[in-house]
Amino acid sequence: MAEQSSVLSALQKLVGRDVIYTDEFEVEKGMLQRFAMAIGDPNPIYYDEELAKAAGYSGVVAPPTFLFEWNHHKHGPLSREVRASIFSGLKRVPPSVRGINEYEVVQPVRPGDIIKTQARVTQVYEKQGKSGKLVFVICETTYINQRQEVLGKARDTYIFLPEKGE
Amino acid sequence: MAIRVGPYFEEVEVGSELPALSREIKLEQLAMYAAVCWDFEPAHYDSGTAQKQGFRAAYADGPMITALLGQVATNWAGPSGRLRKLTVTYRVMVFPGDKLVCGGKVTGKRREADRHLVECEVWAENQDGQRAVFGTAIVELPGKSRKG
Repeated sequence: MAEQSSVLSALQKLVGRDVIYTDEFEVEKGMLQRFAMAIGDPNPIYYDEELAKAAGYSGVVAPPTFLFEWNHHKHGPLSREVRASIFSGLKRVPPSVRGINEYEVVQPVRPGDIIKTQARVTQVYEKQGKSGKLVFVICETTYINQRQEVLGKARDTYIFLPEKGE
Repeated sequence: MAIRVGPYFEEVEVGSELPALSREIKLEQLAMYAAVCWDFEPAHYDSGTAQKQGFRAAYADGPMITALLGQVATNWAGPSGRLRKLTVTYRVMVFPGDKLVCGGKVTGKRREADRHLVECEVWAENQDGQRAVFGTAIVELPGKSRKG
C-alpha cells in the first residue's frame, strides 16, 4: 500500500509538464507500408499511388492509427526513461496497461512528413480496483507536421497496476 | 477500378452491421507491430518478461487491436470515406493464439457543417466471447447531394 501511494506521488510530478518532440526521421513510404502490413491491412490507398489519388488523396497515405503509434512513446511524458527516473526510489518500475485511447484524425500522414508531438500529462488519480489501488494517468497529445498543420490529437488513459502479492 | 466503392451517407441505416474481420493473433504479428512502432517493450514479444510483470504471456500492444477496429471502419467506408475519430477502451488483454472477431454496428448519423458523419460501435471479441477492446468510430462519408 505504501508503495502504491508513492507510485501516485511519482506520477503526479508529471502533471502539466509539456513534452515536445520532433521525430528525427521523416515518414517514408516504406515505413507506412510496413505499418499497414504489420496490422494486416491490404487497403490499396496505402500501397498504390494511382488508387490513392482516385480515392481523393494526393498519393499513398498512412493507416489512420500510424500517427498515434509511430515512434512517440519513446519520447513522450511516460517514456521508459521518464518511468525509470520517476520510479528510481521504488523497488521496481510498476507495470502499466492502456485504459482508453481517443484518437482524432485531422489529416492523413503522408510520405515526407516530419511529425512533431506536443504532449502533456493532464490528470493523475487513484482508484480502488479488485486487486489493489490503480493509478490512472491521462495524457493529451497534438501531432503537427513540418508545415505546422495539425495531423491529429490523442487523449490516452494509462493505468498503473498494483504489484501482485505485495 | 480495383478499389471498392463504399456507401453514401444517405444509404446508411442506423442499426446495420459493418462486415466483420476475423484474425488469429500470432506472436510473429506482435513482433512485427513492435518493430514498425519502434516500441521495443519486451513484454510485447517476450513471454518471460511479460510473466515477470504478472501476465501469462507476451501480450498485444492495445493499439494493434485498435488498428483492426480502424480497418473494420475503413473497409466498410470505402476509399471515399474518412475515419475521423476512434475511441477505444481496453478491457481484456490479447495474447498470441487468441481468435478475434472484430465487428461494428451503425449507431447514429448526423450532419456537422458540410460533413456527413456516421457513428459506429466497434469491438474485438475473443474466442471466449469477451469484448477485449471496444469503442466508437466516427466516419465521414460522401453525401449524394455533393456528388450530384
